[in-house]
Amino acid sequence: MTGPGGFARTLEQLGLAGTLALLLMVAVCLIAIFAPWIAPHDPLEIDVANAFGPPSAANPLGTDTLGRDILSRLIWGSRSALLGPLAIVALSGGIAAVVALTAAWNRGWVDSVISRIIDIQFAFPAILLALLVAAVFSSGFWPAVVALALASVPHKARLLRSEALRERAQPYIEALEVQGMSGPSITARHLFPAVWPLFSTQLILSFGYATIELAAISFIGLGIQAPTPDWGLMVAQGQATLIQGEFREALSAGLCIVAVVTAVTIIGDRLSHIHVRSI
Amino acid sequence: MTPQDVAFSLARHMDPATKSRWARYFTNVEAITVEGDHGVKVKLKQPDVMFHAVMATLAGAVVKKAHAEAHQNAIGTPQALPMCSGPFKLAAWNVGSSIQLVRNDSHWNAAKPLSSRFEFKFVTDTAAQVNGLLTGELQGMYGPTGNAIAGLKKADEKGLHYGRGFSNYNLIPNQRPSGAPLVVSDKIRQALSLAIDRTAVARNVFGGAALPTLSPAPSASLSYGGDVFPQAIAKLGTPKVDLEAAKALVAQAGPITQPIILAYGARSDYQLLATLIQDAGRKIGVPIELKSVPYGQYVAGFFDAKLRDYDMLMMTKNVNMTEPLDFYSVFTPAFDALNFGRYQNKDVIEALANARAETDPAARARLIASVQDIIVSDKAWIPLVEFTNTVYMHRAITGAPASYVFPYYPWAAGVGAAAR
Amino acid sequence: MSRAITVRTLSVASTLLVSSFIIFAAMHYSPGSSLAFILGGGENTATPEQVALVEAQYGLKDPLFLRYWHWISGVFTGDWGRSYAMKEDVWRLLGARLPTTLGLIALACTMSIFFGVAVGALASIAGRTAGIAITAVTTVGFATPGFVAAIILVSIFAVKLGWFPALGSGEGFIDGLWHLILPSVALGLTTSCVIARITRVAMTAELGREHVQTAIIRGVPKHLILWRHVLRNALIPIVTVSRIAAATMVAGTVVIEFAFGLHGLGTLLIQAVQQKDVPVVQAISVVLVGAYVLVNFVVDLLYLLIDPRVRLANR
Repeated sequence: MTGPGGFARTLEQLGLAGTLALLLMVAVCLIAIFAPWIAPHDPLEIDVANAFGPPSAANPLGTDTLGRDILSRLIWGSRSALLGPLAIVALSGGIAAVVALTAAWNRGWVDSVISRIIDIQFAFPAILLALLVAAVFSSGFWPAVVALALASVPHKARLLRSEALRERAQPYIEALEVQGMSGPSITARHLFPAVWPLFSTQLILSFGYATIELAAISFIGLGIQAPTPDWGLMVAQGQATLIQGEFREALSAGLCIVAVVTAVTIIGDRLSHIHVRSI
Repeated sequence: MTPQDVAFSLARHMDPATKSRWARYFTNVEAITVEGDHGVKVKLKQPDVMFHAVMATLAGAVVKKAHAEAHQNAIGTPQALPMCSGPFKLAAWNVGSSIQLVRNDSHWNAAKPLSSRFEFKFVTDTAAQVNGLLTGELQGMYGPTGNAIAGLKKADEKGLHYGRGFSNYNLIPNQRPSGAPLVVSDKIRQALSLAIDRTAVARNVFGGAALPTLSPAPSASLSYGGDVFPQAIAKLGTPKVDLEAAKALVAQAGPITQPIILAYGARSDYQLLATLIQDAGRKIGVPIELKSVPYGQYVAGFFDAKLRDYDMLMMTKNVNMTEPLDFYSVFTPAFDALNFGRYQNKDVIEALANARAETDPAARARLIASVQDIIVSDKAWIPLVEFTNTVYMHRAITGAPASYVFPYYPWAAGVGAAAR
Repeated sequence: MSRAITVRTLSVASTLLVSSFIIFAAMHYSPGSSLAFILGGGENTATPEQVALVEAQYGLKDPLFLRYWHWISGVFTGDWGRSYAMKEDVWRLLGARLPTTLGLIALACTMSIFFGVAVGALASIAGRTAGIAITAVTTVGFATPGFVAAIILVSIFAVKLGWFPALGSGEGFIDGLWHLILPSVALGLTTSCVIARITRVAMTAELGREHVQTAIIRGVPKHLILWRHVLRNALIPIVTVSRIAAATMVAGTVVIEFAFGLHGLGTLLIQAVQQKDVPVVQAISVVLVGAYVLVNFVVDLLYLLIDPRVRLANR
């Protein structure tokens, strides 16, 4: 873990690309928070007379099929693009941590059972889970988030479990046990902090996957619902008008997704190098 | 084909085991009997003008008795291909992708089909349709969506042909499965009708291949009875947006405590339409929440009340005959499965029952016009647009009719190569 | 070895069994019924007698376990049932769609392994600037979701340039293949970028090893060194990645088929889930889950072939 002055060192280790990526993510966060003040127009305001308007001073990126301002919709769309993956990472990370640490601490049959469940869930494609959840609970933002969170638990749990098992075998853990410290508190105070560096970079990287998957679910119409501005939805809506030669909406929303995922991947990559080096 | 086959085919619709979608038109049939070598007699319990008309639809199609009895429930499925007497024979059915027809050389009609082979392909994706049509991979198509029409217009406007449609697109109040009273009160319905920009709907959602309308029934079905229907249509006026009047109606309706849930089938064009309606509500202070339902489930919802857990939906109700009764009958008990808002009016039911038995066209038209007055002023359904029937033909072919007769007669026999 | 295979097979079977039950239960409890689709949908005219008849015929009102029992006992006797909506034997239905999906995945795998290894190898021997450029491209490519790639590819190559068909499945083998090119690029993009990066790392490591350096000093031609010493040893991590990649593709095909309007298993699955077409959903899910498990199995066998250490450990 980074000590005092660690932030500067982290920045240094992030390198140029990493720092730029970090700046981009900070900017996207600020845009999401201050969307109401930044967006030039109401993202829901319809002006059918001005459908497919070309880029202009009033609409820097032009307008969509209902004459809504594309830039404003992109700006507002950053909210679900950040909130969704964040919720997925938090939820799946939380479940994975509990499951994996339980397995690693107890070992034996508890570990076997948990590992078997993880194996089965591994074979369950996320998209299939999302389809089923949408069929049972109707489609929407939160059902999609829950489905994707559940689907990404096994990945995280499997890695965390093997790391935690290794740490569990360390002599100092046994020493603490002998001293009479309880299992849960050793796990919380020592085991988890020990595996946190690796786990946290995995969480950052999984933010990128979550962004892609959530946008894909929106794209096939099982996620967040129109007319809410959302990047995945905008790609889907824009795709329908590609045949009319209207590319702007789909392309600009698609590029936003690519930019965020690229940035997160670079940051995660760099941080994982740092941790690998410091281990 | 024998008279026995004909009588059997008609009676088949009345057997619940057939699960015929035409059964509701046979409710007034008392007996079907074979008369001599070339006759079949249908005796009705009471006069029924719709029965006459429905004989010109698939309800009157004849299937061989021996074939139907041999295959029972499997008939019409890929395991037991239908056996009919039309100008084409069914050569192959590739489930989910295409149907192939070949010319029936022993067809009774001297005018043989112009094409020896016909293939219907199931292409559901709009962009794939347009792409296929423009490259000539597909040579024709009925009923392209708004996006497809816009794309085709841009690339090959000459291939598009328009004819009269027999379906209107309506915004329909729905009673929730819980049985709670309608959320969308009559004042709100009237206000929404004044606030929705139907011209924008026709242009932006349906690619211009639709006409703004205030008539619940398709105007093409209002086709008899002298000047009764023209006057009734004139009375409707022209659709225009009047936000002030709409706001006044909303004020009269009283406070709206919860948003109205509007469901739409998850397709990009219907999503646009729903968004436009939501926007209309926003402008007059009627909060509307959109609910996208997977398209298949949405259609299933027309059938299954438990699936319709929302307050409004949109649907086309096409008529099978040039008879507005076929539309307005949804407000009568016999046909009421589509009466999602459980609209009931004794005068309407009585007038429609009389009209169904009224063989004089002018008198029937007057009865239906009186029903139209009530339905329109109550806004039982909110009419949005009337579809124009659109057909695209590649320049290599010609002969497909542009009007909405295509589901009802063997038009494919008249389609052939275009002269160079 | 044979014990390892037995254990594996048992675990595969139990995975399939449990997941098929979960899927069945989800379909059973999702709201609405399959009635509308069995009756032909569209027109809302069924009488109560018709409805009762269909419910009895298809056992729609039976409790979950009974329905599952009917289904699973059918499966063991080779009868997977018929589609509710299309009234066609499930396997014939799937059989018609399978070539598209398999072709898509096969083409995407081939292309991504070929380009991934080629680009990665190139990056490991290229100069600094070229290396950075390749890294930048693969990083962005990795971050591009398949459906976004689909939009970009269609806009450029289909709509603007008209080189490829925009959408649809095409007809016959050659045309079908032609229709699959853009979709498989979209599907394989992320994977090829991952493979490129892994190849690069693995090859750079191999290039630095002693026997390779010796070979270079001895003047062995460069392409021979690359082939004999470097690429072969770098294969192991590449195979590892291919396992994850193939699994991603099995799932990713659903979105890509949707984006390109292909008639594959993925689009059939989406449609079947919406229509509560239980036999079709079950069959496709089993195929998807089974494919995933199979890929893992094959990759494990590949390890045995490539890496003698694994062979020893499994004895």
